[in-house]
Amino acid sequence: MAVYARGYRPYEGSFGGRSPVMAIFGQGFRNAIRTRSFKILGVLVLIFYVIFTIQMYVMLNIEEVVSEGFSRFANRNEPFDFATYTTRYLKQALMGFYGFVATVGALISMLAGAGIVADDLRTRALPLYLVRPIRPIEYVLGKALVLPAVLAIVLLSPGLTFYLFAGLWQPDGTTNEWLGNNVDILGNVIHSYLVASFGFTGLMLFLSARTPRRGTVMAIAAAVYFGGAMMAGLGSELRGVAQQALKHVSLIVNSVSAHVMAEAETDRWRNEAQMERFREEAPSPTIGMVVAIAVLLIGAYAVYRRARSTEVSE
Amino acid sequence: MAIVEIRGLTKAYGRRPPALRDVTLEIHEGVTGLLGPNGAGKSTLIQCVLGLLPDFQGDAKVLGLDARRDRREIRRRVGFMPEFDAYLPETTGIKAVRFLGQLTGMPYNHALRRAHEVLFHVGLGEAVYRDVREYSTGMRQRFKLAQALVHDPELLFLDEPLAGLDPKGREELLKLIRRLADRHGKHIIWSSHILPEVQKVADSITVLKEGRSEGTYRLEEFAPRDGVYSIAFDGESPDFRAALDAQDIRVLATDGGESGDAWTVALDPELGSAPIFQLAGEHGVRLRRVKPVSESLEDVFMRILGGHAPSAQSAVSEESHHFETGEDA
Repeated sequence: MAVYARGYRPYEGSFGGRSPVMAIFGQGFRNAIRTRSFKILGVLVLIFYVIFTIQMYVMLNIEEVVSEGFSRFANRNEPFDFATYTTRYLKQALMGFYGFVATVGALISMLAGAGIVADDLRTRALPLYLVRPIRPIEYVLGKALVLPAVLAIVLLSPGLTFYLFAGLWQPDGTTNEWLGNNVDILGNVIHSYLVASFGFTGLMLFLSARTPRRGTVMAIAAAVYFGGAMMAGLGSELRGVAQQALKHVSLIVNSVSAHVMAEAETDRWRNEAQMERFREEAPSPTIGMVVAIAVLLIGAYAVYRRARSTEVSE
Repeated sequence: MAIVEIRGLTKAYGRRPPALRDVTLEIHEGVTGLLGPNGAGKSTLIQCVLGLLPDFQGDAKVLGLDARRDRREIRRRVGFMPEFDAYLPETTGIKAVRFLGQLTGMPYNHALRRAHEVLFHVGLGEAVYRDVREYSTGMRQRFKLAQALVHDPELLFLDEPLAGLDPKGREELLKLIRRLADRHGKHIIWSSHILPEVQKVADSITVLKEGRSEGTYRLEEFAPRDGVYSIAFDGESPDFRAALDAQDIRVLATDGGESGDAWTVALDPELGSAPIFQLAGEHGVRLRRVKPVSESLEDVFMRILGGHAPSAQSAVSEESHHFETGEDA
């Protein structure tokens, strides 16, 4: 293999390229969506999405089904119309959809995100980054954007399209009115996505910055995800401080809490007392968001510490 | 001009003894060997001047830039080739070098073109689309050099750049690095434990010992070894060799190359080099170089570590000197 088969030439271009944050993010995102686990689980979500879309079409567009749905969703003593029916159906559908897809999102974050920093530690790429004109915080930001972008594909885009479909399938001329009156559904979709992406990202950043071993990261992440869900279930059965603490420890349950709460309000069989008790037992969307942000900050700090303390030579 | 100026640099990690203690040194243009035993503080020094450890005492300037205040600019103008195996996960050579170019601020297309150029330059032209994980040890060394060169830095830090290379690969990379300095004006700081390699390519050496600077020395100032000469010549050598033996001129080492033979010979110091010229003339051998051999870098290095620095090496002269290129006879 000949050396200097081509002579060395000085670089005469500019140094005005895009931010290193975007370069690191782009590299991480491409690596994440190229993983087999993302492709397999992504197809699973896609299948689930198509089924839900077809079901939603049937529920909102086939007259016989709509009539039957009216009887299921309408309270006895309230005026009821197609717009209200759509709202209640959509809230239930979103709860069902995200009840499953949030778990898939956690799995995707676990499999695609395990190497997010760990791979750089294992291959010792981190010093190659840090001898460039970038700050540790830019490395952290670039890495922290990867999983939210990946999760936007599976957790955010389906909810947004369901909301739009529901608006488009309203009677002529009422689409904008329905969309405007149901912004809270859009808010729930975004809330759910943010809680999931903050929480999942924070956990994976934290674990991935602690060890170069992907397997260890995945094993601990699985324990946190599924152990947390079990603890949250146990917490719901308790009372007092233990209940309040434990019911918020699951990142997966927290991520669907906005949909759970919205769905609960559509249930015509639940009276105010039952609703009050439900609120006691279910995790609060607000506290769920606070927990997710806290986990994200802890994870980001762990990566920052790692980037600050990485030796360039040994 | 000094490319690295350090004044009273002290760096400690927590409560441990300082890794660097009041280091004052200047590294000048050309190729400088950064030498010292393990734990001498070479890595810490590199990190300080790269701006990765800004919390040190004292002053450090690289290419005239303050190592604390101008860290980003320094890193844009400096390339670093680590000793340890380092590559980007799950990516090809071309993508990895392009990406690292982008991190230096190069636009995507420029970084891609530049990545092709430097990978070809270091001899990885046929492997640019292979996953870096599949590279051999020697190829990874070349990859690390390519990523250090991608942004066309003025100053290169090379940490054991020849580790893991076979003799031919070492020779090729030595020539390449020397050319980067001679023809393209790159300043190179070469950290290594393999002293003969440093001696082949360096203009000067900087020695660290137990966190202190033991000075910077020019190789040209090393004391000549009495009666030992490096000769290079064209022509038939068997008769010449026999004639040398007959005159009690010992051939200590031989090295053949495309441009002729090169030997290291020893004779009575009082005779000087005259017998070599005489015998060459008698046997039709055309001498291209006859040069007194200085003491080896290893000798000097061991003496410095032993506390007896060579007397002739007090300060670094400003004028540039190129160590033995084979063109000076």
